[in-house]
Formats: sequence, structure tokens, C-alpha cells
Amino acid sequence: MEAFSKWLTNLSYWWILLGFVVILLGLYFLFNAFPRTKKVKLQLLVLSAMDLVTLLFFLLTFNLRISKLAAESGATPRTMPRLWALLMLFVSIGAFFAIIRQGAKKDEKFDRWVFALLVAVGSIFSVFMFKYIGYYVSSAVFILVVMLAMGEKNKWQLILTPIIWCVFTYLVFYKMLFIKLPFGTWFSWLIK
Amino acid sequence: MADIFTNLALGFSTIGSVKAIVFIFVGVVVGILGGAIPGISPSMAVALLLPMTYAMSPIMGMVMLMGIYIGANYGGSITAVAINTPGTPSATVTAFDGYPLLKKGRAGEAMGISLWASIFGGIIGALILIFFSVPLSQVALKFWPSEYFALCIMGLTTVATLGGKNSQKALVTCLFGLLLNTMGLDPTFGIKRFTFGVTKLFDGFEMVPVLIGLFALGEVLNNLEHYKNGEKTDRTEVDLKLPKLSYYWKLKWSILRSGVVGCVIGIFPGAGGTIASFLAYDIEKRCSKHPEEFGKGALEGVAAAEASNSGSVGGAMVPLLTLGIPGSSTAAVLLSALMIHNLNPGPKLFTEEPGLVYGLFASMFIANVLLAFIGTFGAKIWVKVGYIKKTILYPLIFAFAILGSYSIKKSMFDVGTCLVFGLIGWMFKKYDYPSSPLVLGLVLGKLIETNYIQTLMVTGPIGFVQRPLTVILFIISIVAIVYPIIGPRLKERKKKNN
Repeated sequence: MEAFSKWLTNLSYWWILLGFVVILLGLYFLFNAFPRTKKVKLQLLVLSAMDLVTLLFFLLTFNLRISKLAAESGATPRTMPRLWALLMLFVSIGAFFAIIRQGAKKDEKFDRWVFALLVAVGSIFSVFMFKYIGYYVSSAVFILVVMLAMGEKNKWQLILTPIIWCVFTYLVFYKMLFIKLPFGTWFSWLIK
Repeated sequence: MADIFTNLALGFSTIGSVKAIVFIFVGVVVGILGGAIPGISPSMAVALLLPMTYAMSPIMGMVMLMGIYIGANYGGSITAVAINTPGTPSATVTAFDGYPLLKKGRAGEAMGISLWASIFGGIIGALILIFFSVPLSQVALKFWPSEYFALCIMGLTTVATLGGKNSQKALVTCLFGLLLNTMGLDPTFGIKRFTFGVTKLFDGFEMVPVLIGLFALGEVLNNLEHYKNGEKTDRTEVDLKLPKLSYYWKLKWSILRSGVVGCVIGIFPGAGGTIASFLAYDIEKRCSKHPEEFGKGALEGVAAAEASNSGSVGGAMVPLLTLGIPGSSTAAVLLSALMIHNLNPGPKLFTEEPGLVYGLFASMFIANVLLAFIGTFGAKIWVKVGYIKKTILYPLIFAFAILGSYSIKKSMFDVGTCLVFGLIGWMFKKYDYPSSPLVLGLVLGKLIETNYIQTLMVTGPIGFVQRPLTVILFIISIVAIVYPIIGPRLKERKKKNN
């Protein structure tokens, strides 16, 4: 077990993430195959995702270093993660049956989830752009784009909202609280 | 007792000047703004204005910082109610019922209750501090790690009520939170755990980005999913008016109970307002005649969360002033402020500087009175935030979340944490997994682990059953879990027998 744990520890987190996706996809098809789990497959997938993280943590505990002092006291850095992991796996079994038993609430259908996800991805992109165009421009563009995507047509509101936001953050965070928000490499000459 | 009143009169006379009241006023305003902005914690707000006190007299500096502390504790609830974004971790519980109330169009009530519960909770905390600070500090000193561990386990039992009908899912998310809390350096031995080579994970997850992600982004993503272009905010039947003072009378017992709970929990170093608000909320739900309304806009829920949170301020001052032990991170900053002014907290401070100590106590009353005026005026503005056009509100919440997460440590990693927890919050909301037990797990995890290991190292496993107080706390925890399961069955049996 320790050798496997060591191998897992040395694995890049991208591989671990890929493994997670593959296992969850497999579970999706598995839950879809049975009538009792089909209606609640996404609730079960959320539970399974948490269990996968738990299992990973449990396996990784075998490679955690134990000091002499810890070994003597009987409580090591492995103790609590293992305790929580075992309890979690035990409770998950109960939750699994509670979800699939008759009368459990069916999965909520996906509505405009692509739109919501795109906004989330857009915010990640906006954060990524802090480095280049700075916080103020990046957040203003983000606010404007989301407002447009949500169907806002009032020109004044489209222009004023990002501007007011930038002025507010500049005055409160930069001037009052001395929190220096990034100006970005493209505009750094402005503050020189 | 007569000494206390004499000293209190001395305290009021010490700060009975326009100058002192102006400083307290400034402190309360800064505190409210700091608390309301996610990413600015009460301790950060106090620390930011600490350098300003260098040139002031000790009493003036301390009363201003006390004003910030009190203001910030209330400020966190403003965004919790208005946009489901707790400004401080201790305001998380306020969002459970405050935001649903706002969604029901009862924004004025939600804001009013959070304000007045906060004021009365703060006054209860101050009264307990004045009259019982010395005996209570002795109790806190007698607490061993085993008792802290038992106290945390008692805190965990609130999961039984937080989950409502989804008790199993609540347990899963709570344990998941406890497990996530083990990421980073082990608190006792300093061994790296589950960091995956990411150095930013050595300290584990920062609390505020997690909260903003789970509650604010989770809610916004869920709303965006169901958003139809051109959808307008329903402004009909929205009550923006704050209720009259007499309205709050019906919540007197909730506020009183929660204020006392908050103050008592606040005494124990490390416990703080977050645990206090979870516990007070749990107690209120158990005492309520309509527990099913909790989480859907129960007035007692908002009152309990805010009264306990503000009560914890008085509690945190007990070990700080009597023993020099800070009960919370904000109290730690206050301790450094006292030391900067060459004041050493401890029993001697009460005899050598009664004017300062009791002046500080008196400032807590004045700060709460000022909070009533500032809060009433401010709430009338804040109450409208929740009803801003969705096309403006949602992008701004996103921008606010990113900014709040970034400004804590100026770290992009925290922004990433906020976004990831936003996705988790969205999925949790969509599939009926309650987010609050996850927060509970994250808040209590480190405390549980530290005290568990310390108990084992000092006394071995026998330590958990050796001391009567530990056993009593464990028994209360067991009853708190078992009673909600057995209680209804026993009642049903009784009904059948009758």
C-alpha cells in the first residue's frame, strides 16, 4: 500500500484530475444503466466525486511522514485524515441509499448551464488577464461582457456600471485601504 | 458590585467627551464598511487603523479600535443578507435565513433584525464582560484540550439541524469539509499533507474565498443558469421599510439566549464568533416551534446568528483583558494595540488603569448606540442592493467575489479557490447538498485535530473521559444528535398510546 501511495504522491495533479474525470464518466454510464439510479444519477455523481477525493486522501496518508514523537504519542499526521475518510465512506453508503430509495427527489434538469459555465470561465479568463491589462480594465471588460450576454440594452447602464465599479474599487481599495490591485504589464508605465 | 458601578461611572467619565465619541463613530463606520466588504476581515480593519492610534492617547486609540471591532462584526451581515455573500466568516449563518427573507420581499425585516440583534447581542456581551469577566476567565483557564475537543464536537452536532430533511447529505458535506481541512501543514507536527506540490496549499484554504465561492458564486451561477434574457426583478410587494422597535420584542428570548451563548463561546480562545453563531442557530432551531422555517427565512435564525456573533465580542475581551490571551484574531490585534501603548493586560490592568479598562467597557455601550443610528441609516440603502437589476447585480457580485478573494493576500490562488468553490456551491445547490455543514467542517477541523492530538500527547486516550467537564460536554453532544432522531418517535408513540 505504501508503494502505491508513494506512486500516487509523485503523480502530477493533472493525471489525478484526468483519472477523476475518467472514473466519473464511467460512473455516469453505470448509474444511467439502472432504472433506480438513472433518475438521480447526477446527485450520485456529486456524492461519488466527494468519495473519490476521500479515497485519494486516504490512500495518500500511507506516504505521510511520521516523526518519532508522533509515533510515541499514538497520534500521527495520518490519524485525522484517516478518521474523517473512514467516517465519510461509511456515511456515504447511507447517503447513497437515501438518494436512490423510492421518493427521493429527482435530479434537477440542466437549464442554461452552458451560459453559467461560460460566465465562470469568463471570470477565470478575466483573472488571467490581470497580469497583462490589469485589474481595472479586465474587470470593466468582464462586467460589460456579462451585462451584454445577459441582454442588457440600456447604453448608459452598460457604460456607467463598469466605470463606477472601477472608480469605487480604485478609491476604496487602492486609495483608502492601500491594497494595490494589479495595473498589468501593458499599463504599468502609467504608474511609473 | 458597588466597585463595578463606581468604576463604570469612571469609565463613562473618561470617554465622556465629544472627541472620544467622534473616534468611536469613525471606528464604527470604518468597521461597518470593512465588515461589509468581503476580503476585509474585522482583524484586518482594526489592523489597518492601528497605526493611526500611535499619536493618540491609549484610551482614545483603544475606543476607536473597539468601535471598528463592533462595527465590523455587524458589517459582515449586510452583504450576507443583501447578496448572500458573508462579509466575514461569522456572518455565514446570518445568510442562511437573511437572504431567503430578502428573496421573499422582506428585506426591511431581515436588515432590521440583523441590526438590532447585533446591537442587543453586543450589549449582552458587554454586560457579561463587565460583571463576570474575572470568574469567567478562571473557567476559560481551566479548559484543557480535551474540553476544547468536546466543545468542538458539540459544535459539530449542529450538523444534525443544519441539514434539515437532507441529514445524510449534510453529514457527507460536513465530513468532506473536515477532510478538506486536513490539507496543508499538519498543525502539530508540521508535516505536509495533500498539497500536491502547491506551496500555496501549505496553509490550507483561506476561509473567506471559500465562503464567497460557496455562497455568493454558487447562488449567482445557479441563478444565471435559470436566467432568461430580459427577465426583470420583481419589485412588487417588496417591503424595504425597517420595522418599528416594538416589532423586535417577539425575538427577545432568541436574542438573549444567543447573546449569552455568543459571549460564553467567545471567551474560549480560538472558538470565536463563527462557532458561536452556528451553535446559537442550532439552539434556536431546536427551541423553535417552527424549525422547518429555518433556512427558508426564519426571523429567529437571523436574530440568533447576529446576537451570538456580536455577543462573542464581549466574550473575546474577557481573556484578553484579564489574562492577556486573545480570544480571536481581532482580539490579538487589540492586544498588540494595548502593548504598543505600554499597557500589559492582566489582573493588574484592572487595578492600575481602571479608567482605561472601564472606559473601554463604556465604549462598547456607546459604540452599540452609535451602531443603531449608523446602521438604521445605512440599512435603508443596503436593503435596496438585493433588488438591483439582475443584469447589473450578477456581474458585480462576480467582480466583488474576485476582488474580495484577491485582496486578502493579493493571491491569485485565493481567486482560484473562490471560483472552484463557486462551482462546488453551484452543484451543491442544484443537487440539494447543503453548503453550510461544509463550512462547519472547515471551521472546526483544525481546532478538533489540534486538541485531539494534544489530549493524546498529554494524557493518552483516558484524557477524553477523565475530566467531568469533558464527559458532560460529550453527553450533551450525544443528546443533541440522538434527541432529534428519537424525540419525534417518542412523541408519536405517546400520541398512539393516548
